[in-house]
Amino acid sequence: MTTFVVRSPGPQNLMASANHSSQAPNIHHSSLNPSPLRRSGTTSRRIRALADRGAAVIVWVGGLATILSIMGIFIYLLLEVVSLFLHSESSEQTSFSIDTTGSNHFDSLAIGIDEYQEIAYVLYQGQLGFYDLATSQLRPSPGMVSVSKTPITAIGRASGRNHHIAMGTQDGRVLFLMVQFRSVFENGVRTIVPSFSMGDPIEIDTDQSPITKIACQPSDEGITIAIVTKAGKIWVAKIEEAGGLLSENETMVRRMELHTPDATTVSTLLLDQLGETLFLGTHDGRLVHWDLQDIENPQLLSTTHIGHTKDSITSLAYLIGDRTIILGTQSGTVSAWMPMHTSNTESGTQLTKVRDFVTHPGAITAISPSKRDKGFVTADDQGHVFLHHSTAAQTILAFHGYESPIQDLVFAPKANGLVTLDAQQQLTRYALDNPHPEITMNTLFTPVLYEGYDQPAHIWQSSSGSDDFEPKFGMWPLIFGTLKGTMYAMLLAVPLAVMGAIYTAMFMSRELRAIVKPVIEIMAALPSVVLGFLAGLWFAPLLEEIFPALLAMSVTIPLSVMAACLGWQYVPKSLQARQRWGLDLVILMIVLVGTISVCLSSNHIIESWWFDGNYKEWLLTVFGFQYDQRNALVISFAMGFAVIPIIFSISEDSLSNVPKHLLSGSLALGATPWQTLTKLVLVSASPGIFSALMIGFGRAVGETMIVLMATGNTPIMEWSIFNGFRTLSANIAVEMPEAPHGGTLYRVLFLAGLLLFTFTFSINTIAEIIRQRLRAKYSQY
Amino acid sequence: MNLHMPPYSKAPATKMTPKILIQNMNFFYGATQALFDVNLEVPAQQITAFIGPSGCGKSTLLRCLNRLNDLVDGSRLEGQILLDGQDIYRADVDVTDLRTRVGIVFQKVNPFPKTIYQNVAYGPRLQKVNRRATLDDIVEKSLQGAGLWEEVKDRLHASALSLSGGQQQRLCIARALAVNPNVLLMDEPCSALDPISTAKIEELLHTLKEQLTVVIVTHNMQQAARVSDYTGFFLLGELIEYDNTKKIFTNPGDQRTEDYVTGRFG
Repeated sequence: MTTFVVRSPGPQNLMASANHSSQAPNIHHSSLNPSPLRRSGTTSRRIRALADRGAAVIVWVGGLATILSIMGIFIYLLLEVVSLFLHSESSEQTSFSIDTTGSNHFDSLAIGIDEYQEIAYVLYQGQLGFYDLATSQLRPSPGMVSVSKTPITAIGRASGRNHHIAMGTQDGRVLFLMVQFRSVFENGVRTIVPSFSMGDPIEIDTDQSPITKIACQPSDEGITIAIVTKAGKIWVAKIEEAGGLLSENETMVRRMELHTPDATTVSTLLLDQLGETLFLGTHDGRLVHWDLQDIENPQLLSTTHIGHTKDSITSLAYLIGDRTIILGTQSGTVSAWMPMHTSNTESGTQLTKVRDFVTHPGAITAISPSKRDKGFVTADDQGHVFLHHSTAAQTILAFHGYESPIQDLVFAPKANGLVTLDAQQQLTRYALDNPHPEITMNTLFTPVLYEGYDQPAHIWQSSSGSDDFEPKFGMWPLIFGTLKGTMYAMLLAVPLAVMGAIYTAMFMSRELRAIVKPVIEIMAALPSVVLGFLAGLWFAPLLEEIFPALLAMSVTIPLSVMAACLGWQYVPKSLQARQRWGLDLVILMIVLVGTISVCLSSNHIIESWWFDGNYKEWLLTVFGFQYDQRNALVISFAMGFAVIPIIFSISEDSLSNVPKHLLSGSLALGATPWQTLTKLVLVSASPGIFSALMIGFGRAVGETMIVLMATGNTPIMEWSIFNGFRTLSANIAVEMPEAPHGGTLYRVLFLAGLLLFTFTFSINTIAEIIRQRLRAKYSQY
Repeated sequence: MNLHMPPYSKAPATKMTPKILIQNMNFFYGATQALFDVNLEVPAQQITAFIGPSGCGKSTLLRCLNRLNDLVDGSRLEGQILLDGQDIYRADVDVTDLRTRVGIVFQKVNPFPKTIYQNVAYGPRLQKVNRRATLDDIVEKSLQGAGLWEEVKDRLHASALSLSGGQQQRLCIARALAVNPNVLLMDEPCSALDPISTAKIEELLHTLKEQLTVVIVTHNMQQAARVSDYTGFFLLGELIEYDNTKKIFTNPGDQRTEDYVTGRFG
């Protein structure tokens, strides 16, 4: 191909001769100019040269500006998108020793932080202290407060937005502590005022055996707690208070001992947000699931072995939404577990490990989930802190602290920092810049196992009603939707437009063509929002009603047209001669209108006779197709309508631009018009028809309003013509108002834009290259 | 001889059978009449030239001979054109078949944007000649017939557009020959060519005449004098004079013919 172009002297000669002919007269003219005319000739020549140069500069500047602005758009899109993939950053901001004495006891401490990360509290050895992180000092008010006189042997922190803490004492009682941070504005300056409140001690186990483990969770119905005592008993209890949780009113305690041989092996407890599910992690690597919906009748649901090794479960945490459990072990493994559907168990679900994260070098001591997303931090007994994200299945960051066992760890409420307390009583705060933890190439472009699904899937669902929802940013449903819409539109538009163009250019009389072509081109003037509006609100319901008739039309129209064409052969020649005035077209119109009206009027007959009275059910039972009102069929008509004029017009131009002397040459060799068309004209016009198709394709890919209004915007991946889809372009339009500036969704929408841009850009580039090659091969002049 | 309207201008002293017989022919483009009552006899295996100033209807007449004028909207023909005694304008005549018997070479050099081989094989392929060996044979013979074989035999699969103007025109002749016509119409075939290419084509005409009847329309009177056996002179849609070429150029029977061939108008 390339060698052909190089060797072919034809176009080059042509260009060379064109240059000669344009230059020759000038030289000729000036050399022959008689002297009296020379001055005015010089002036006009100067003006001409100036105009030439001016035009050249304008063209140059315009072209360059176009290229630069397109590049600018591309670079801007790229920059917006690239931040999605930039590495998260962190910096250690504060680290200081807290003022404590005495021996440390592993479980009996807790730390917390306010949402602005200004104040941290430490509950340690029965003392509660608030520290100002800016100054690393104990705050004077309320200062260090003693919350319990008896030693605290276990601390459990509830999940959720508030700082609820349950403490188990050496004498077997349970104490509640609630810490609050209030923002106070004074002269426009925000100050955080910490406060705390305590509840009365509650006795659960009458043995007064020291509590070794405790978990608590307040909910609308009261506080659910679970305790393990040194005597080897497990108790669950629900504490309900008439007048508020921590008031002086009578409290009602309903409690029940879990009779289970696991009691002595329990290493950690986990309650869900409703206080209805209890998980016990054991030293021998089992996860025991209890149902506490009826607190007086707890049910053992299942026991899951976490692995081959008898690895002790040291820490458990729910990610927000309470669907994924993060499990940390003695050997430092961190894994995510979800209930998956199975037929093996009675409940129909089984807790299954879905992901492994980077393993810690030491035993996991604490897990703290983010309150914002599906991220969490884990700490081990060698001072390491890792930041993970569940959806993205990645470990984003690793901090290597002070090689001292980390005793507690808290993720800041806004997920932009974390605080650790290690065995050296070193309180360390890290700041995090982790804006898009859920985005990786994998979450965007490969199937992801989302919460509540049994299989990895491509899903787009950027938002939902609840905060604890897992955003799903799979791009494939959108790319798929774009291709699906384009494909169905092109499937309808290409045959109609190209064949229409062939007929108009090759067989139609000149008078008729002068009417038909502009009329079709006017179709392009219809704004796509009008088309979309009509398609969504008028055509889609209509189509739903007349679908059986439409199906019948797809068979009867071709048949009746063919019959009409055959019949035309038998029309007397004298009548046929009137073809120039469009008699054949008039007859064809009558046939078409007749067929269509017959089909429409027998809509119900067809439905009852062919589809057993209900085509939707028939489609569903016979083919398994769900018929949605707004579907790809509607789009193929509406978007087909939008691209037909473009394809028609450009194809028609290129067909009628095939030189007449080529047509005569072919006909003179005894070719029929049809042979001339197929063997010569289509080949010669192929570059033009090809670019018509590509321009139509580009229009369909980028089309927004029609697909926005008539597809239902359901981001599903099914080829069925009877259901909808969501395209990249419509997705941008739909979700733009919901995307906060600079947020993950915002940038993912830019990614959709970038994909569209790249898509159309490469399609156009490839199309242009192919077109040039075709033109070099098949175009004569 | 009747100077104004010869009722029947036959080529005098011809011993050949007429290949084409045109009788009382009038031709109209819509309302405009382009040819007026033309009567003419084209002898077989001779070269007949039509001369005359621009717009005199000579090309129109040529295009009537293979019904290419059918393609013009609103064109209409009265009278008869007989090819081998058969009226080619009868309703049951297969136009495509007629055109394979009456080939044409145009003034505007018009090779198809295909390879040299495909150009020549275009006509035979239309008639479903698809055997490679047969096609190769036809292509070679036709190119030889058009005197182009030696120049292109090594690059049959190069684009026809890579040939020079004169070669392209001889390719068009080869293309016309490939469907094995018995009449070849040439509509000013050399007007766009340089003298050397013109000479080659004129030379070619002499060899072609041995196998087929040639009708050539030309502006160039020297060419008509050089190549043709019979010459018809047209003026404003009328056939003024039709005779032996020698007679037309040396001793024309009509004053207008004399004025034209001696260059008093043109």
